[in-house]
Amino acid sequence: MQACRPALFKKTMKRLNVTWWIYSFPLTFLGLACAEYAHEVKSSMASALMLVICIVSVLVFVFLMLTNVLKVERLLHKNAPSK
Amino acid sequence: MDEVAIKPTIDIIVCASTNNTTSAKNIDHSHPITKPSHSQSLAFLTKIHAGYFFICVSFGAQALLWKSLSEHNNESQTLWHGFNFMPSVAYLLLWCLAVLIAATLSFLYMLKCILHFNVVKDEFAHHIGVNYMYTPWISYLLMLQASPPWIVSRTCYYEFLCLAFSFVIFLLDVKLFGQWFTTEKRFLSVVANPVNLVSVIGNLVAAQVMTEIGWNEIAISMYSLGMVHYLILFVTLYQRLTCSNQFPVVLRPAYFLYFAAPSMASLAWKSISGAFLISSKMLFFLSLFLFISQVGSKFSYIYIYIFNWLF
Repeated sequence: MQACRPALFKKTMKRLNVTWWIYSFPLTFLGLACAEYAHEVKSSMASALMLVICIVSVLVFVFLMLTNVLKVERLLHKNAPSK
Repeated sequence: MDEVAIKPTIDIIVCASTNNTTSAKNIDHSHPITKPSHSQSLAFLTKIHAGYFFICVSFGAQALLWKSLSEHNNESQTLWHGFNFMPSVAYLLLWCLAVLIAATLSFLYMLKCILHFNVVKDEFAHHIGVNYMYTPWISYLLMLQASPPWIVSRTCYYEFLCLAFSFVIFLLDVKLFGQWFTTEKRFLSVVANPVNLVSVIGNLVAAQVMTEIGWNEIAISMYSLGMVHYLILFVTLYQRLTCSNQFPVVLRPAYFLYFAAPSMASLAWKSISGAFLISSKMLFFLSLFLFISQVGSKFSYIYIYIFNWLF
């Protein structure tokens, strides 16, 4: 239902929610796959790609950790997205 | 980088352990009427849902990444030298933190199961909520995989734990995948949403862990189960009708799961076949493409936004 209302979308996305953590681990998996690829191919291009993706993943992770630490009460009071 | 990683980690322990107290205080403010503290804790418990385990999954995956990087680090290569500064202490800390958070959340969730069984049952019956049930098991498996061998020794207990968690994932598969073609109200075309990819990721993680402990046959069966359902989901998600099933906006980050599944598949296939073969590379490139398309579409929104704002 919310999908029809763009104004509401902005509001929900600005507020910290536990689903934000889904941003983190796909990037990490991609980083792991990149590391394996770079390990196999051994070209500098692949290593650079791996470096970039791993750094992005670590940054996203650190950012999420910081926002969660700063706004724990919001994390707990914002409730089940599945409902 | 290690300083940045270490600092917040300490804070989060504090927060994770004080979760109870902060929420209790807030409730006190909003309801000055005196209530027994028992019911307050109950109200707090209903807010915890299985989706909170995404935090553990992220921590587990991050620990695994650091572990694999520090392992590759030992073999000297061109750009690997960049990671020389990365101490294994940070990885250890990350892992301990992951275990701590997982333990706290599992404890809270278990309390919820005991005290609010109906809420858990509703969650299990919900078409999105049921996918969250995979997350605790995925996080445990990732943590086992990332565990340093000198802390968690690779004995029969380790194998037993891996087997037990994978078995739970298998049971969930039977329930969820079975429903997709047997229960009329739950046909895949009706319930398909990006969060379903979590179930596929669960199977693939289980497959990878099973290979590591040497149960190749089970690993292959989990892998095939995961991949077949991945293909079905992939096609269904592409052909989804816009109005058939509204996806909550809060769950927008779930679109990132699109590229998590193929990269996990490439990793799992790598451990099953023993080398990073062409099929693994294909899956890796697919994942990379999906990642670029996700990020690219996000950026295009930003361009449009800026363009609208300027003119």
